[in-house]
Amino acid sequence: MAHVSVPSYWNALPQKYRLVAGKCKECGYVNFPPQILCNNCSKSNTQELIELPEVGTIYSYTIIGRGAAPPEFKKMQSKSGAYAIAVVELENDQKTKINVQLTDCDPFKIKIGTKVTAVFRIIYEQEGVRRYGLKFRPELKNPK
Amino acid sequence: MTKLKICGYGCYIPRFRIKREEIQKIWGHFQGRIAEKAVMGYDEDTCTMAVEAAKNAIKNAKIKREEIQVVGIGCSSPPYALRSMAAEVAMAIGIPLNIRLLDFKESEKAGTTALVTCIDIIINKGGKGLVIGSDSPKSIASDPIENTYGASATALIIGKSDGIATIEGASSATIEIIADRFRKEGSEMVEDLGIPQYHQTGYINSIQQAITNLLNELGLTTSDFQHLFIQGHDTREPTRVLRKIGFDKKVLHTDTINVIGDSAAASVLTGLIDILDRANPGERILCASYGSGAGCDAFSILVEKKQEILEDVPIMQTYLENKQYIDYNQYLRFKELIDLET
Repeated sequence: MAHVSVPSYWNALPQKYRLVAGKCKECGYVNFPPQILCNNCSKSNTQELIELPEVGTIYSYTIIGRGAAPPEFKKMQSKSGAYAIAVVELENDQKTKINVQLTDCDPFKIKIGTKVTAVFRIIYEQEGVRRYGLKFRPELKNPK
Repeated sequence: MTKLKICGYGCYIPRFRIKREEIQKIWGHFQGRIAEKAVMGYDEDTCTMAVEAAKNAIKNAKIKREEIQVVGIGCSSPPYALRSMAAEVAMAIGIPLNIRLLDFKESEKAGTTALVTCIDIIINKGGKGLVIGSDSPKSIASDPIENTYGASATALIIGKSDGIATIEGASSATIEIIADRFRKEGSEMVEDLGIPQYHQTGYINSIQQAITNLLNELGLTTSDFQHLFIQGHDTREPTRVLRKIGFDKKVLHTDTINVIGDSAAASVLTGLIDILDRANPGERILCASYGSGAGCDAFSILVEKKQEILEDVPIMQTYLENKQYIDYNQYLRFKELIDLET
């Protein structure tokens, strides 16, 4: 089974739960997840933590068919069938792109450019601990 | 008693629904009166539902996360028997962690237990309270009590000022009863002793007593209330209490139970906000929970104004309309009523 250790997952909770990123105070670049060295100007320890907007658009996606999922997703896939993963372009100035799973949608009817919002879901369970995180679903708006 | 306000609220209803006919087709019968019910998807549990409801409530109440001083959750079907769900929700929302976290798990009325407790804490401590009811109880597939078990989550923000409604008072009552429904430690499945008289005795008497206490304390009569919500396993059950407590059937709301099912610890809060979405300023709401054991918490709520609808924070009606029907096969998988590969 592919193994993400409990400490690594723990360290990543702020970005998995709330899209916490590191904005470089020197050059303004948004690093997701936060880094020690800025990915743009390479200066160290210059990033302040910010939360990225939980809305974006689908930039690209692919469908994971039955049997093709990494082993930690096996149980989930025995319930869900095929599911989609996507590159989502967030609605911040830099249009930060992140890799996420899509949920609450038919994976075979997804369109690039669809607006999506973040939702808190179970990613998988390992060592008895449920690993939660954000997935994205098609935007749900109140009718005007 | 200092009167607290409901500053805002939010809910979450999972997208999947199963119709009663679909279950009836498989088992030949359907016990309980509902039209359809909500089912959690493959990547949801009571914790994820609680997080979405709480985020919606915070946005609707237009408060800062830092104002929250206490998080109280009621849930009879938590993902863990030991591991704070309130802590998980606080982390997910990004609430500063030096606050009080309360988890109530052992009753179908755990949601209102969380509410009465948070009311007392906020009266003493000030700040805002985040009260959540989130639940999706289950029983074995062949047990008729599984028929009406649905899923929903609702969150309220309570505080001393800036409210859309006032919580005028709360009363509780308990009666001595041996058992009706129960879930043993280590089991996910609710069981029923199967003696309807026991359930009805506990249900009718505890609710009647709590409501009588509440009306006496506040000096109100049944005619002061325009809306009534009573927790029940189906839409028929609350009507059994009506005559006893002298309420007219016109004021009783059962719509949420009819389309969501029995969401136990989330039931009353979900029913309450459905009424708040529709009630006019000046109207009064009475709501009463029921938990096997048996006890009831009853509340009187005076509506002051309607909550503003924000475009990007789905209201209950939006969640209810955003639905996808599933067949019985998917239902068994989603609710894990059959063994799955691990």
